Amino acid sequence: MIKSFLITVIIAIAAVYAIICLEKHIISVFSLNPASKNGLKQLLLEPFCDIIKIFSKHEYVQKRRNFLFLAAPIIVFCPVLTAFCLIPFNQAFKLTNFDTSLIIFFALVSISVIGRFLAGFSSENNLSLVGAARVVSKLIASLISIGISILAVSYTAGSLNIDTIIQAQSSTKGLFGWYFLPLFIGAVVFFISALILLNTGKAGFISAENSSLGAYAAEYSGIKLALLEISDYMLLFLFSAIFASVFFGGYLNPFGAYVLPENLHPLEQTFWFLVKIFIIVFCAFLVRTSLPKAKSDKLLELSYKVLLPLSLINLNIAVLILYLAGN
Amino acid sequence: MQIESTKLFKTLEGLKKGGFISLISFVAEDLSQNPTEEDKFLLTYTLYNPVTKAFEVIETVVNSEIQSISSLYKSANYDEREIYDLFGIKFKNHPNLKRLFLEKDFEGHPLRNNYNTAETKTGRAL
Amino acid sequence: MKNNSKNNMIINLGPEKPLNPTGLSISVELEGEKIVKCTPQLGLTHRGLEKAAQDKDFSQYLPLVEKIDYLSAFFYAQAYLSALEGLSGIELPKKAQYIRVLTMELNRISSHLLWFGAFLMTLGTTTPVRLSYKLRDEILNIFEKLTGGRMSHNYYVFGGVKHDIPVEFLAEISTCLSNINKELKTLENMAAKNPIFTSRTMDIGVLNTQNAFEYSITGVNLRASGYNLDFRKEKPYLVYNELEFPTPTAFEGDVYSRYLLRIEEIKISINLVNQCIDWLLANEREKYSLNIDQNDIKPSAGRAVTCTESARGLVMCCLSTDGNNKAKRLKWRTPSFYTVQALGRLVPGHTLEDLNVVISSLDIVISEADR
Repeated sequence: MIKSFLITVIIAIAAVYAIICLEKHIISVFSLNPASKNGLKQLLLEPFCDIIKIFSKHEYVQKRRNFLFLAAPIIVFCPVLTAFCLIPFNQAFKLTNFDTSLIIFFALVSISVIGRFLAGFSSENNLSLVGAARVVSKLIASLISIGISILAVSYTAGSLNIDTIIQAQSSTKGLFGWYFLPLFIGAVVFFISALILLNTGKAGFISAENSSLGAYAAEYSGIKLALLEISDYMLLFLFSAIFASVFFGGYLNPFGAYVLPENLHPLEQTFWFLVKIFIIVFCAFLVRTSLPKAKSDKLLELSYKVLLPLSLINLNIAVLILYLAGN
Repeated sequence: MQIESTKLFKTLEGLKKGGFISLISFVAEDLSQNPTEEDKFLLTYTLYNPVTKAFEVIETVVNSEIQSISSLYKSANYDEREIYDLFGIKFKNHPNLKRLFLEKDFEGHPLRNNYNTAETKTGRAL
Repeated sequence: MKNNSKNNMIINLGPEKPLNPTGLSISVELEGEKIVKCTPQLGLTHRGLEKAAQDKDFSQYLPLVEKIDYLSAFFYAQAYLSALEGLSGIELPKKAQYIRVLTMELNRISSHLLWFGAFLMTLGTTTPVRLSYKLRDEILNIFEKLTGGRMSHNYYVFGGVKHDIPVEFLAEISTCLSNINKELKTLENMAAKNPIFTSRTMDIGVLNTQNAFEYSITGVNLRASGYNLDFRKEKPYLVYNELEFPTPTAFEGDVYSRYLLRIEEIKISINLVNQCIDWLLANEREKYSLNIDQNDIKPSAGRAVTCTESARGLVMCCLSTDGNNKAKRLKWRTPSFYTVQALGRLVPGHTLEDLNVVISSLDIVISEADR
């Protein structure tokens, strides 16, 4: 068990490190501000400098602190760390094999997001309260649509186990057997709702601007703030992984047949999985850098009036496909 | 145009009805020469009429108090607070006559001629 | 948490906010989601610059003048010096006037470019900031080559300007401006055609002309509401009566029209600078300064009031002298002082997320409101 825990932690740290480096590079390229002159070496060493800086920051504490204020970052961070063990990286290596791993994943994510609400609520600061309320409203709006599109996928695959869903997408048709083609609407709804859910930090750093985007963390500084920020990155990685597994065939090969010999299959599967995650993260950063932030009420309108009906339509399409395939 | 301080409010009211609806600037100046003299300030109001595009300058001399014109011209609210803060002239019927720039417990009014920055208790020499 | 008896929530948005006017501390009262009352607090950057004018010589005070508003250094220097020159009864040589107009219009362009970046940053995009800062950097490099300083120049002197502009440098300014002209279309379309942007900025922060005159707001904020008041045409100073330029107005008075109007102003300023460059190329050998000893400025006793149209509005310098070499009373009428006051009227009725957008669209610089 300790071995699984260590492996999870190592995967999580590697994922966060990769995303931080990617984010700096992608955003600097898209913002027309080319990376610094030292190039690759500086880019790869920067996250370590950030960690050392966070350790050395003076932490400003309030006079009266309650237990929830100290516990909230842990409530945000731990479920997300646990969720790393649910992702299947390849066929042979699975840390866990639950039958309902998809539901468990979203349960853990919900606990984590509720933790942000606790963080804002226990800060005894009116601005944090407003930010926390916004987080909850976004959570509810996006999770409903995500839940229904996940439901459609699980009907088509016949199970809630992520590994089974991936295996159900494997066929000789390769790319065309994945679920994003018949359930295209569901994929779009999932992506947009996930972006809404992840829209809690500002450009990767939870700065307490009065645009109330990162305001729930207004009273946090030092390591507690670092935990909140890192869990933001982890959520991005996890959502990309689930999106890739559920709609894009996870670790499956897009050509249908394996290129490498038998004992190198796990390596090839992990490679394809990471490529898909990279492309999805890239698209998420592209959306973040090129569009201004929409207002909260417009986002909620979008969620309830557009995405929810579309996901229900998607569900109907999935049931139709099953019926036709059964006949 | 020089006007007595008691007739100022009525004059400005008449001008506002006549179309001078904008108070472009409001300047105060300390006219006293030596510290022993009585307080004497010169207030200058510059008004603007958007329809005829005309400017009008009104001057008045006050000693320590004058009627506030913030009910006529909204922009005079901060102007009068600033003048009270820096000169000490009190404006009657002002909704919120508090210091604007300096701290609440600052003693003295800096822009008066008898306020020497190097010699006062809370003075911060420039 | 403080609640009053009506259960409204009071939120203090403190002075340190990144890339917004720093130093503006606001206290808003929320009822549900809407703001009901907004109280700004000034005075956090009060430096007592008006008192300083009474302790320093005229030439000693000149570097301080440029620090009143760090983004409009040339405008304030021009207002101060023209008051002095008016009281001393001297007339600037033509070339000095053209050089002053050229540098002031370049200053206007750089101030608007900075506003552009800061405004779009409050909406959540980070890309336009880099583009506009890159363009602004080219202008600041021009200033550095010409005067030695990027934002605080010490270039104007009593009686003209410090050094001449060489003819080769005029060509460099010209190419820089044509570069900015090419990029302006990108800047404008970066936000203007984007539906998220238009839905966030249209019909927000509407300022009608009646309120604008009551709060004595001038400059772009007034022109976006529908009234055409430009002090370069109303009370022409320097050589503005010889140059041709339009003064556009918008009619809605919301955030979107202020945005479009400022981009238009950049184009007009580029045109003005090109006209000045044409004149300067044709009249190379004129005098650029009257060569007056700067330590010996003694204007005659009296009062002088000068009006300058800076990037944010009307700047008035009211100077009162009594024949010595120190000012008796120097008052600055700055545009941001009145815009901050109008916040208490403009902001109520919006939600907390619009607050940022409305404030940054008014182009407030707190250091000139506080002096």
